[in-house]
Amino acid sequence: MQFIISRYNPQIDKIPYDQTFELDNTQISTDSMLLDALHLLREQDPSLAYRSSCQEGVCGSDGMNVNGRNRLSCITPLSDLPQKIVIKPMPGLPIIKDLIIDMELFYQQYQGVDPFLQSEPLDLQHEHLQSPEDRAKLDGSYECILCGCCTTSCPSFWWNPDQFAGPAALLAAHRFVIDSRDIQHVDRLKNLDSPTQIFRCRHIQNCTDACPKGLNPSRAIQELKSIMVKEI
Amino acid sequence: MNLSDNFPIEFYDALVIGAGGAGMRCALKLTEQGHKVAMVSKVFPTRSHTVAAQGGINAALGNVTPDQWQWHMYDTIKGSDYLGDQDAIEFMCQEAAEIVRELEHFGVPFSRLESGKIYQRAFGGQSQNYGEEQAHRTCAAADRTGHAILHSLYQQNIRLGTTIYDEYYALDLLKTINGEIGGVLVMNIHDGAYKILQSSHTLLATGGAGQVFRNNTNASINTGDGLGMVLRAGLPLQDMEFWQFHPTGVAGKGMLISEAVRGEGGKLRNALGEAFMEKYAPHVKDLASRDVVSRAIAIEVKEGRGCGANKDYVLLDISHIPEEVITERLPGIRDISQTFLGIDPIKEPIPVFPTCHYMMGGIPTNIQGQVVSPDDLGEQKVVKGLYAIGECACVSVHGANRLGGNSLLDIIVFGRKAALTISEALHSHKPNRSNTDLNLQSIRQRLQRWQKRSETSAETSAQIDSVIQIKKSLQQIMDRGCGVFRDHQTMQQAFNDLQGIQLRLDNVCLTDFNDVFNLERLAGLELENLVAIAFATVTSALARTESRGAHSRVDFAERDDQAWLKHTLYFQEAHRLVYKAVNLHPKHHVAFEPKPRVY
Amino acid sequence: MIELNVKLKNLSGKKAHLWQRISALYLLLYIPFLAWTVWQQPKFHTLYALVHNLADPLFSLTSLMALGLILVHAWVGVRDIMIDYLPRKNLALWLTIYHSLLALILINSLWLVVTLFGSI
Repeated sequence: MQFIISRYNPQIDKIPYDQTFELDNTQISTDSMLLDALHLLREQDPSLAYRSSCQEGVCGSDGMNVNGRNRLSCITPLSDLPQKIVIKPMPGLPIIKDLIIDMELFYQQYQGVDPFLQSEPLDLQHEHLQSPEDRAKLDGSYECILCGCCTTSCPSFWWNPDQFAGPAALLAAHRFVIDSRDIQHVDRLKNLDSPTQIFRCRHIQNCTDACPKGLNPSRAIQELKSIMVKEI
Repeated sequence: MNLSDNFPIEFYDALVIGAGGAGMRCALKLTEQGHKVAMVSKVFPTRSHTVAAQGGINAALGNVTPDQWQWHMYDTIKGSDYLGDQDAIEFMCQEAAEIVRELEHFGVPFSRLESGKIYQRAFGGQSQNYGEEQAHRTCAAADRTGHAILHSLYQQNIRLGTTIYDEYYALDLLKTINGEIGGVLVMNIHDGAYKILQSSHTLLATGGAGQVFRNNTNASINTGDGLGMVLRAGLPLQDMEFWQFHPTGVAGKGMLISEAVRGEGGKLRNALGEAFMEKYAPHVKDLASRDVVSRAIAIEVKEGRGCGANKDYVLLDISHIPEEVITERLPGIRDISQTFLGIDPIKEPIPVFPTCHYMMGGIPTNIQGQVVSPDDLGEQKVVKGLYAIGECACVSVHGANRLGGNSLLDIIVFGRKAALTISEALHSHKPNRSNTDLNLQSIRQRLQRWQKRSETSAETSAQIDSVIQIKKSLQQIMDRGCGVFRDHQTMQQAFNDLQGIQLRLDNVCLTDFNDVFNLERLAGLELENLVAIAFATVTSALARTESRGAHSRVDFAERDDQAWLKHTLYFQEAHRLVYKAVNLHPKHHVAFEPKPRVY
Repeated sequence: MIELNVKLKNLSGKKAHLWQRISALYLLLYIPFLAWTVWQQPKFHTLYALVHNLADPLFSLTSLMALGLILVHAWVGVRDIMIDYLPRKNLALWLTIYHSLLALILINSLWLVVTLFGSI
């Protein structure tokens, strides 16, 4: 298998360049993931830099652009990919080294939507009651792992990463707007009402296509828009 | 960076090393109390391994079946094979209900019952009324409870604006002239720059070290960095022979298949299709405690009743469970099976085999979260300025075997408790923010060693060994020598092999000389910790000539309370072992005397 | 009178979104109606006869509304594109120019209507 990997070391290189690696097909088993291959490549070149941690698709460390699509390498089977694999860092944010990007702006945008439950004061004797139906509304929003695959594939975010929160942050905003326990419902909606926030989303659907967890940020944003129209 | 330079210093009221569930719960409380806290993590907080916990968190809420914290306490003590400290277990179980409700207020999206209360599922080793019917005690957010808790804690930390140093690696504890812990040296992974974080309260919440084994459910970041730091500071590790092998890891790969699967009704079957747990635990069957189930699987495979071409795994069958239960309660498990095995568990059983999951041992602490170490007279003394919580700590609430659902509980209970301890200390003694002399000699030597190697290897460029290769060898040695079943000979062999590993580690050369995200150097520093932990494990396990909980010896098959109802303490220097008594004096409940353990 | 000077911070997201949808919906109904009305017209040989025939209150009122809503729809659509892709430095100026242009078109159209129908 051939891997064409974007390399960049800020201490040496002016701009990123592509480096070609080869892996013998005997080193790969039928159920190998892309991350397994990267580990083998790192044995060839220990300076090859990418993030990874849990290796099972729940920590969200190893987002990268594989043959033009943002994916998590640990849950991307090699058998799904062609013999020639082009790997680049996820687009739209500054590259630190090789496949590692600076996600500071992504995290700031997430923090900017107040992604925390604001509920009635703490009562240690009772939990909030929530019906299974109300709880089921959170399915599809709370599972986000903040890998950034969606936001870094969003053209609206590429263009205005400092203004537009991006799909991951808006998915989080959605999760709290629809949580029956949250009491800041209206304030949350008001804060999102601006042409540079959720209305900057044009439902291009790149986010939904990219999400490795099968979530649908675009639909969540659409839902936020209609809640907003109805309620404020 | 020139190592002879003075490192820049920053002062904090308290330092929290690690941003998993324990670290974040602790930092949250400290920030809430108005202290100047820095939380250091080698990854962005939500990448911490708490995120991978699936099944749930135990608390005697009694939402599904009647429950009391005393029953939870009994189950935990029995599960620990009586090695757990009963005062600590009592404290944890008493706090549990409050802790879970607090988490719920933080936003954790727990699954719900029709009544609107938190859903609780059955888990292994849990009973009503001290060993009678199965209890439903494990509060769950589908099978993503760890993810839900970790993200909620991170979100609450955003709310309060906790200072987080993410992608900073903590290298070593720094001591003052009096021998107290006065801070840590950290390295910014982004640019390789070193910095001293100084504080009179340093808390370690660095998590587990499952990476010492090849087959493990752990993230690659679980390299026991806090444990390595403690050993190098001349302090002991406790009960390091006890490693939990989770019965149901994906066979051959290691990803965790939660105990929740059996809690929801899943059955283990051998090649003959027998639900074999009936033989090993006639009463509770598949919901026996983890060490029991792991041994049962290992025996089935050893006796030739394994499945597959190599007869090396058993099957976890949930095909009889209604599809809606699986999609609602176990969506993550289904996802893992489909991604890594191409199997839909609704239709086909999942191949599983025991895999290293959790470290019961760790840095010895008291209930307050303070690290303790024996003095010259053998008396346990608090180490000033140092605290430890979570998987890296050993309070000990898990003893020789942890119950499923008690790990998330442990990190949150003691995360909060340690924060209160530190907060109290900060209120009674104004924090010292002036520059105290810290001993930097040994850390400079350690860093220089890695630096010098880089240069040497640049000159010769003849690379024969690498950090990656040594780590692989280490993991193989530990898999062979310290697995589910152990005996003197294989462990002695492992110990001898580890000395070879140490030698290779001392001589290995790096090939990457850059400062930005130098992951090879990072792996080298982590490997030092892993090797130290492997020695602690093998040394402690060799000495314990009995079988207790997860430490199961073929040559000493019985538990021996007369000789071994005591904690092991391991010191790195000369691989010295000392022992300390198990606490059998809970404060509110009568003590539970050790009894034979049957499920 | 319409405030011509556009300030970024005063721009609404929700209101614009709502107006865009309302106008789209209206136009969706109006355009077939327009086509149907034109289809139903007998043959005319002079502009005067056509205008005279179209000057019934139902048609002229709905058409005037359509004109207004087309302008609203255009305002939101192009405004959003400008917010998205123009350099932020002079954005307010460009929006004001665009806004003025639309106002001009509105005035122009009104003048046309008055001229045409006023002569009947």
